[in-house]
Amino acid sequence: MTSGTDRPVRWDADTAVEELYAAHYRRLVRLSVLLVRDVETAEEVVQDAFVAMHGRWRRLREPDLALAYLRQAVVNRSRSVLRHRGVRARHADAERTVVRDLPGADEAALVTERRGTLLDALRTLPDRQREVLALRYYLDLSESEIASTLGISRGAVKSHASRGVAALRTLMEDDS
Amino acid sequence: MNAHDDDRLRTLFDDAVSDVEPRGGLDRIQARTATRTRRPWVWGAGGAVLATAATVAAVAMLTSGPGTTDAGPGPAPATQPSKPAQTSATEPPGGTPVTVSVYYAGDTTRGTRLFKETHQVAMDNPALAAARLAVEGAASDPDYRTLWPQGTQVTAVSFDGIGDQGTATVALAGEGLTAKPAGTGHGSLALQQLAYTVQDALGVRARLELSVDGTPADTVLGQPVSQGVETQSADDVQSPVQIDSPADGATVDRTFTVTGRAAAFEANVQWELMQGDTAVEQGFTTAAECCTLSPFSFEVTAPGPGDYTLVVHDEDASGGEGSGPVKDTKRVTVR
Repeated sequence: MTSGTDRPVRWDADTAVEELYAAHYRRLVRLSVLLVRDVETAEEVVQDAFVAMHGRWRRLREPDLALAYLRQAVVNRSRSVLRHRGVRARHADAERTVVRDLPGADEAALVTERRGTLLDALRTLPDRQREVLALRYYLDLSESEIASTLGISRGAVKSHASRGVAALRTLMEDDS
Repeated sequence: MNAHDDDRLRTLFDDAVSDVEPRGGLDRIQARTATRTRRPWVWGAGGAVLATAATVAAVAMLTSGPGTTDAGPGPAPATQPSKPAQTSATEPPGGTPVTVSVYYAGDTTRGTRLFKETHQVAMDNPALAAARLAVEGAASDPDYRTLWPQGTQVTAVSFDGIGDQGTATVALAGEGLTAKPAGTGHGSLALQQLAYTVQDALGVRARLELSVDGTPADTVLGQPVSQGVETQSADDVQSPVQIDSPADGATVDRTFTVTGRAAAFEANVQWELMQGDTAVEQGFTTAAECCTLSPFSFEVTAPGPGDYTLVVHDEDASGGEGSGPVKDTKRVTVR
């Protein structure tokens, strides 16, 4: 199996971490923020995923497979963190981090509120709906990519997506 | 939903996190994936009297070297055990690998428990490699994780004494290793994760002595360790349902054998082969003994090639009153 791929990349595990970090770290952290909201937690989740990917590189060996593994690990770990850590207690920090780079204070407050509304709305959805929506609308994954990332059927992806979109629409309209 | 809605949602999602700029974590990741030991282990003269089969492997593992946890070709080990442990059918570039059991934490309806996962490591230092995999959390199954703080390093593993009466010494390095981990509160289970992994790799139920940054430790993760660390009963700390094989992500024949361990009411173990949300095959088996972790094995025949998720679980004996069955899942591809 070690030489089973037609086009093995010559990266070793350390290079794989560097290359994939450069290309995908920020996007994966943002994905995790959509799921757990808190930036610091999201960074920990993604770092864990990279360490896990490093340990598994011998079996992955392909950047595409490694990225799929990273996505899956980030989604699973985000879900696990939400359930088992006091993430809610850290929301105050998250708000601060989110606004820190914005220009004028008034403008910042408005923008933060709008962004906060989506993140708040996402937090009220069931895990699967939130995950399907984030993978679909943030990462732009296809139905079958989402299905394999979450280990569910395409039919389930469809139904989570349509329920999630309907719920989001209601929530966003109520809040604005 | 229409294309306009989709575009609007894309913009909304992009926008919601567009100003999240991670502080960066490459250094932290690399610190955790570093394979070089800080202080090479020096084997004491007293070790020469060791005589059991298990200690043969222990001698080999004491030559601490790089390249034990990554795919890079490692140097040929200076000493080799006369009887290699189980080897795999494939030979990665690091030389003949050995199979080790690595324990990770996973969530069950009975709280966080340990799960065993099989890994292949280079032969020159299996106990050190296994301990590193456990502590760093490099699990194949994305449902598993480590309970150790990030950045924790295992710098050496040594063994002294005879069999179960011996002592395994594990040298740790990292920040915040003394205090109880914030948030999780799993200090005791983290020690069990390490103890089970090291004992399995050494093949002995030996007590662990821990050192942190070169000094013998009194407290690790908020737990007293000056008297050493013993493994607790598997029924108390391990998941009552575990699939040992196939591994997560494995490619299997249409008919494949599942092995694992369960501590189940009346020894009953149930399974389903899922395709998406649908169970395409299901059945049950019994573990060798009731109510304590004991082996089970059964055969599954998939309807055809494709991707499936194998779910093995116990029965919910509480009749719906309890928290639900304990399960373990593995994704498999049927060729």
